Amino acid sequence: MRTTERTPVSRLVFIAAALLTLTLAGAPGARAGIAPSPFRPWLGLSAASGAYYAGQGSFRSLYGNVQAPIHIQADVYLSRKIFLFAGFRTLQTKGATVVVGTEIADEHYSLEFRVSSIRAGLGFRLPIRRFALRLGVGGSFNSVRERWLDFPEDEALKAAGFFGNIGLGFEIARRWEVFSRLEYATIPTDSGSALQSKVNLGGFEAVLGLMFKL
Amino acid sequence: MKKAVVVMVIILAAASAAAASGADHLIKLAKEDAARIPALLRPQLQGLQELQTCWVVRVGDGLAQALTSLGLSFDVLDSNPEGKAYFLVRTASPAETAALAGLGEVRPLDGQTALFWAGASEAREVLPESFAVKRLHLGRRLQVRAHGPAAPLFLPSSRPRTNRAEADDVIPDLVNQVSKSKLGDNIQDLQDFQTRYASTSNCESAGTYLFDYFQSQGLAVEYQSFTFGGMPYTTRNIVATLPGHSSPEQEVIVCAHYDSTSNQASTYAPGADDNASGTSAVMETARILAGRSFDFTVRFICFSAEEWGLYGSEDYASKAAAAGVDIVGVLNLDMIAYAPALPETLDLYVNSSSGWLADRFRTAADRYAPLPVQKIVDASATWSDHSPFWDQGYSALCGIEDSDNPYYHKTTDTFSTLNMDFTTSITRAVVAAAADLAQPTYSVPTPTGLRSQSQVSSSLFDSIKTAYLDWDAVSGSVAGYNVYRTTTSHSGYQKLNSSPLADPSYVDRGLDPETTYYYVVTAVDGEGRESHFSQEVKDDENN
Repeated sequence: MRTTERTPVSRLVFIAAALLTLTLAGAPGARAGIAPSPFRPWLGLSAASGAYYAGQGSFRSLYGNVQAPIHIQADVYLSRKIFLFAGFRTLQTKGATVVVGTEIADEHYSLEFRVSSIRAGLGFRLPIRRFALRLGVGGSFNSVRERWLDFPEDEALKAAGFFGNIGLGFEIARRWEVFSRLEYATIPTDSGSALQSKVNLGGFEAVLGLMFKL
Repeated sequence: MKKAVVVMVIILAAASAAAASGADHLIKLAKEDAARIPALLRPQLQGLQELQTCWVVRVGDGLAQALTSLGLSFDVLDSNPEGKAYFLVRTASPAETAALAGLGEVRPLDGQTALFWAGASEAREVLPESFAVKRLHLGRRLQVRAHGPAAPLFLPSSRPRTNRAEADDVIPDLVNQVSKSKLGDNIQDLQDFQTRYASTSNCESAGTYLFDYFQSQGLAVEYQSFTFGGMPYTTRNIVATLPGHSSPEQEVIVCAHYDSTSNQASTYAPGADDNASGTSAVMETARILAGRSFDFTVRFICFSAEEWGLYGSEDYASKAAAAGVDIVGVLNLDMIAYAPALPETLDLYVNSSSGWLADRFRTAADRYAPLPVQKIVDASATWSDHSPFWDQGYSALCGIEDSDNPYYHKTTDTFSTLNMDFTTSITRAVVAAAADLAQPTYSVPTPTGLRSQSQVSSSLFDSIKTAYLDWDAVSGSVAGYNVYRTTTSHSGYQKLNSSPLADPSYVDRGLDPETTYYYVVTAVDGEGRESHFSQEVKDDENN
């Protein structure tokens, strides 16, 4: 159990270290004066959606295997390869309770679930002709709410999380880029139920989006 | 992590060592230490006796070493117990406990209770007659719990309700039949046997007298013979039965021991207070209830060999538990006639899971005796016939006078020293409490066959429990049913439905999954009269 909790953190550290290494590796070239074109910071605004696959089976048993999150994000490119980003993610879905232990009757109650996240992080961008490979790590602040439609059971909580992602963009026009992104996130909470003693809302996500460059 | 591995190794080593161990020990284990024993190890502990703050446990060498390795402290009371006769002895003071040392081995246990043995000798043959004793059965295997039992093994059923016109008539009518003169006559009759010391033929004659008495009341009566003591001796419990009407499988027991002892036990032990008084109350209760119909079976039992170490009640309770008998509650009466002045308090001794029974009895006493009653929760009160019922997980109380009787276990314990007004008041309370527990049959039948199953539904952050109840439909002019729920077994029932339910089923949703709920149902007739509560069930009783 402890091993599985550590793995995402180790990955994030690895990704951060890789980004730092790549950034530093780029600096000597600039110092050597190899045709550096003047860089002007730019902004990327994007929207994306796709498929979220929860890491914990308990979430999937309640709400299904796949949900569709929506992302809105702003990237600030401080150099050719390094960017900061901040954004908003939301995921809303409906589901039904499951029976824990002995099932006496096939009776399930309707549920609504919503998580809204404010996210920020640091990214590395590697342009290859019209393509751009991106790696990013960051943290999230998540507002979670689960509501029972048949009973006055209503749980609202806040939780911090971390994520790392890798993406590939393709410049379809001078200011437009389509991109896809794979992400792993962990959002541990101290709350749970008879189904799951401690809920982690993290999981895997694949999104497709469109970016507008300013 | 390292510590967990060490503990696991100890547990596994203990498990194998305990299985192969040859030497046995009796240990005294404090309940707070029992709480620290790993769950894997606990089933291997052979509990012999629960007291208020500790357990007497039988363990093998390996298990004892494992407990030590885990840092648990315990006192070794004795080793190699096989072949020895151990007794729990009630002592009034540390000095009295010390005085026992000259007669055999003695180890203080808990408050006024000590463990005594003198080889294989019977305590009654070694100790002065002033000591009350209970034989410790080495073959017993009680589950060692950290605290008192959370709930009785067998759940009682109901209590009278105020919206029944009939209820208000029946119990007062029964109580008013209690006769002071008949109670006195019974005591005098029993005293006239000169002695009822369990090993004597006089005791056997007293048993025959009781058998005939119950039979003359129209009750089914039987002897329950058993052997006791080192000789061994044979004696008999007298068991009279009034079969229940709607739920005969549930039983209410009204009991007392009829044997006696004194400083000349073999020839003269009148035992008027101890315990012709309790026996007389059982006889009088039987006389009054015999002509009535109750939902539950009522058993009137006179135990023998109580003075030798509760042999009669031990035999009965262990056999009842082995047969799965559903005993609602046991009212044990032991010394209920000595009162230097009135009002005199009746002490009700209960263990933690029998507290409800004392509350019910007190309600009856307040209403019908009237009688000051003191409820005392003390699992170490092992000195009378209620104790073997506690050992088997049944709810039981012992009613006993509050004052110390100076004639206790003496040849001077005679009828002339008794206060029959006190005994009469107590018997009125006993009749009311027994009738209350057994539930007089009314015109609105009590629903039977109540079953409950529950399931837990869960989301990520919340869970709720749903209880599914059903019961047998009541035939006749029944307009519907009411369902009641409580979180405290036997008390505080709240009605769940606003109007009577047409069908014999109910679903209770939105319950806290961490809470245990108890249910009863009633039937309601066209005039709004309500039956007794049905048998109580736990929400997951039938899962």
